[in-house]
Amino acid sequence: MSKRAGLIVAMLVVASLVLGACTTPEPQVIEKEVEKVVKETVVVEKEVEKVVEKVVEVEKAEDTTPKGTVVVGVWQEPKGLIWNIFYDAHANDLGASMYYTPVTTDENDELVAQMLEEVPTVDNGGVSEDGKTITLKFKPGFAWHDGVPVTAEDYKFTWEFIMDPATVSQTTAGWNMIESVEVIDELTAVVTLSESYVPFVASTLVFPILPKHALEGVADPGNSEFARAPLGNGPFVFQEWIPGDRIVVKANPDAPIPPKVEEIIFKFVPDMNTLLALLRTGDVDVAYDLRETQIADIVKMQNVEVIALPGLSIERYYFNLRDPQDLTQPHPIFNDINVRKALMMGMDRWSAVSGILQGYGEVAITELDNHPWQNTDLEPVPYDPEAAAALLDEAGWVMGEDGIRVKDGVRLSFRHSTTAGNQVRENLQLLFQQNLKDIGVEMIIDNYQSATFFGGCATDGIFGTSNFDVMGFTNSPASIDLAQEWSDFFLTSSIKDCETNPAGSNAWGYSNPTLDEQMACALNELDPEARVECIKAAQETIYNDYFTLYVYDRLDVFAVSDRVTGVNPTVFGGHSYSYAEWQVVE
Amino acid sequence: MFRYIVKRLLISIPVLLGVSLVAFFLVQASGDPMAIYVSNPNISSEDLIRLEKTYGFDKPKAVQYFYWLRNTLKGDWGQSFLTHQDVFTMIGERLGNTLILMFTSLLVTLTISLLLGIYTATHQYSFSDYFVTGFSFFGYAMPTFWFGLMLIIIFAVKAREAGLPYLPAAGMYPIRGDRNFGQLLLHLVLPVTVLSLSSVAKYTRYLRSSMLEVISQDYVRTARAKGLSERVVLWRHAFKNAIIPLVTLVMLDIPFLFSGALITEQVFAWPGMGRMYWEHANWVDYPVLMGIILLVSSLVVVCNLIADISYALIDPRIRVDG
Repeated sequence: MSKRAGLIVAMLVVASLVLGACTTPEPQVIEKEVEKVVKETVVVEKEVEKVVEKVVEVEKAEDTTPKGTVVVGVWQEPKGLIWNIFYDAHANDLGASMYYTPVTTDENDELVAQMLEEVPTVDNGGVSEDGKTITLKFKPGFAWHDGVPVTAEDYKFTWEFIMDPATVSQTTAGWNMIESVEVIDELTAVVTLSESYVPFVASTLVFPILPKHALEGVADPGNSEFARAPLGNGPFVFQEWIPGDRIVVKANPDAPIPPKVEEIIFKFVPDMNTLLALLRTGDVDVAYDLRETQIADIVKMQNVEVIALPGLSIERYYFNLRDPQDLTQPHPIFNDINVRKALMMGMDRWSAVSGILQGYGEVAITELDNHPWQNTDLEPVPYDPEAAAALLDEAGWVMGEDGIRVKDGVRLSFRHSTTAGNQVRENLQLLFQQNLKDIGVEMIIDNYQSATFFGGCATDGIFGTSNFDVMGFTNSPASIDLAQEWSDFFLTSSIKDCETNPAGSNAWGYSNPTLDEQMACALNELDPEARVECIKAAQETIYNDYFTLYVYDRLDVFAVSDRVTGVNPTVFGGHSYSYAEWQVVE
Repeated sequence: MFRYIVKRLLISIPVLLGVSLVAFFLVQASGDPMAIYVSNPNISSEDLIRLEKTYGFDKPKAVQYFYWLRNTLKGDWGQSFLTHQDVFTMIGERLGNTLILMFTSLLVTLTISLLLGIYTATHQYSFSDYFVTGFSFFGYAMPTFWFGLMLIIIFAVKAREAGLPYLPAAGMYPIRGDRNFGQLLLHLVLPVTVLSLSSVAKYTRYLRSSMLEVISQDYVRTARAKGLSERVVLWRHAFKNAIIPLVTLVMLDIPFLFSGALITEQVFAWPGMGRMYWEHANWVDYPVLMGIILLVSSLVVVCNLIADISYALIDPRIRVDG
């Protein structure tokens, strides 16, 4: 134990004694608590005051009946509560209160078994040598909220339900790799995949199982009663949904790990500023998915703690490598890697972060920033307008009379598109527009409503028809592992073409055989170390091709009232992995 | 009269068809209903193509319109692409909330406007006339989202922090605690203030000019000459005639009460139609949008008819011709 930790422990003992003198509990109890607190010295070092609160909390925890109500402010109401039909981040966060999952992440963002006996791996025999067979052993004791036990049959049904076209699933990711599910006994299922798909355990087993007895044979499940009043198996039981107003869940007394709060109210507040006002008045206790630009306001609030984690969501700009006028031709400007590099070096992302984002964010580097698999050898592309200008000179772009460079009669002018109405994005555009003008490049801002911007082939959308020069938006790897869809943005085989490949997601026409190989390895390599090497190499390949500018890493911003403890948000688990640990301190 | 009503209703059929056609193509032109899923890494491109087929988005727009029209005529308003619920059910869930908000604010607006309108008409060009006119335009010009937020900060946040009596910031009922009529009234105060303040100007100005016109009429002078008290002249003779144009105005505004208040409902987290329209418009959920548009345009047709008929009833000089 370090000197400092020792000192803090001493202070703690004093603090608890003082506290003990006030409340006069049994002396024995205090000692135990101090021991507990010592284990948490990392937290303790930061704020001694906090720890005193923790001691109080431990005293109260002796009474295990769930107490109190926590209000979570949600700015986007779920569309329905069957996760595969109404797939969105906020609905999943909310649903996590009502469903356990086979595996989940813990407070350290490590993969742990929840409904399963253990996380299946090759080492423990849960995953076969060829990676195609996965054995799921469920723990006994999990039951649906109507008392029916959860069994392996439910797992099999969930797969069938998701893949049934009549269900109209929004996502089938991962589940579409399953060839068969064999139910060995009540608590054992053997999943056979059609081909090796390593992300299955970490990306697909983290989703809830659905009750066979309640959903089998239900016509149009998305429009069923279940979709608005689901039957779960998790720490909280669905109570009511008042449309446009709230969803209420109540503690499940029979939960294997009983929750500590009696009730959670998810209150829908569509306007972010109103949400902040409710946070300030104490009407709302927990808010999440807030914006970096709001941090300064929340910090000023008394009794509310703001937690900002460097997240996995990265704002990025894709350069179109094909000519938007004729997709069979290379892009007249961006085809030259040196031009792309020069443009990236010409945009001052450091000023963007310190100015527009008030310092709340980081200049981004790779596709997997802040992920355990981030290639940390890579450095952000520097801001160096002189080097950028030199690169453009070298590439043959000479300054024209109007201050914009020209080459073979082509002006160095391009359209920069993102979603309209997003203040931060628009401010970034204005800054970069000025930056680029300084090196003789014209950037024309050309934004669209989201529904047009991300529109597909059928509606002549910007994304669908690759009708852009630069396209900017935020994306993130969806789970702790890399889902298959992650690679769709980069693979040669997924280059989008409305006639020959309308399903493709690679709207920018990027193609590099080296990356294709690295991506295949990222999804199929069974040796974990070799796999991570491939994933790191893939980041480097993208980096060296200068075709995506990773602008900045967004922060995951949470606000938590000091009357609630135990939220401890993490990068992968967010606030929703810990519902059962939440506690009200009055 | 009966023939007139039947004729008007028959004319409304092609009108509504035209409205639905234009609305359908305008809504469709605003983007791709599938766009919401594109940047979601857990929804694969194969999933997107499958959903597109399920919903019929791959069909030509004219065909989609025809399907929609056929189902609507059969009484099936379709299902939302986002919530999978029946549009009819969704409107049912929200309509009541919106009407509570909108009719309350109409009532408040009318009461204030009547008083101010008559006052300014009888005190024409006085300081208070200018003041009231100026103030009502100030309210009219105030951006709703900003004004709403200011009210929340002053009356819900600052007042509470200062230990003064305060108002709830958002919603229809308290987040914790009972849902009762008294609470509903409290929650109505701020959004109704925002809505009323922005529409008081319109009604006040209208009533003022209408009143001024009536006051200068011969029969008002006659009434005064007869020696009637000013109060009787104003309320029995002038006012009754001055509100006739207002009846039309109110009648024509009623359909829009049903569509709710987009921004106000958003800012005050009011679970109404306007907010629903906004949320679904962002992602081109056209069954919902078309349902609301059709509801409101039908009401426009009906209310126009009622306005015309009631006009004839109030003012015997006006006749409706069959």
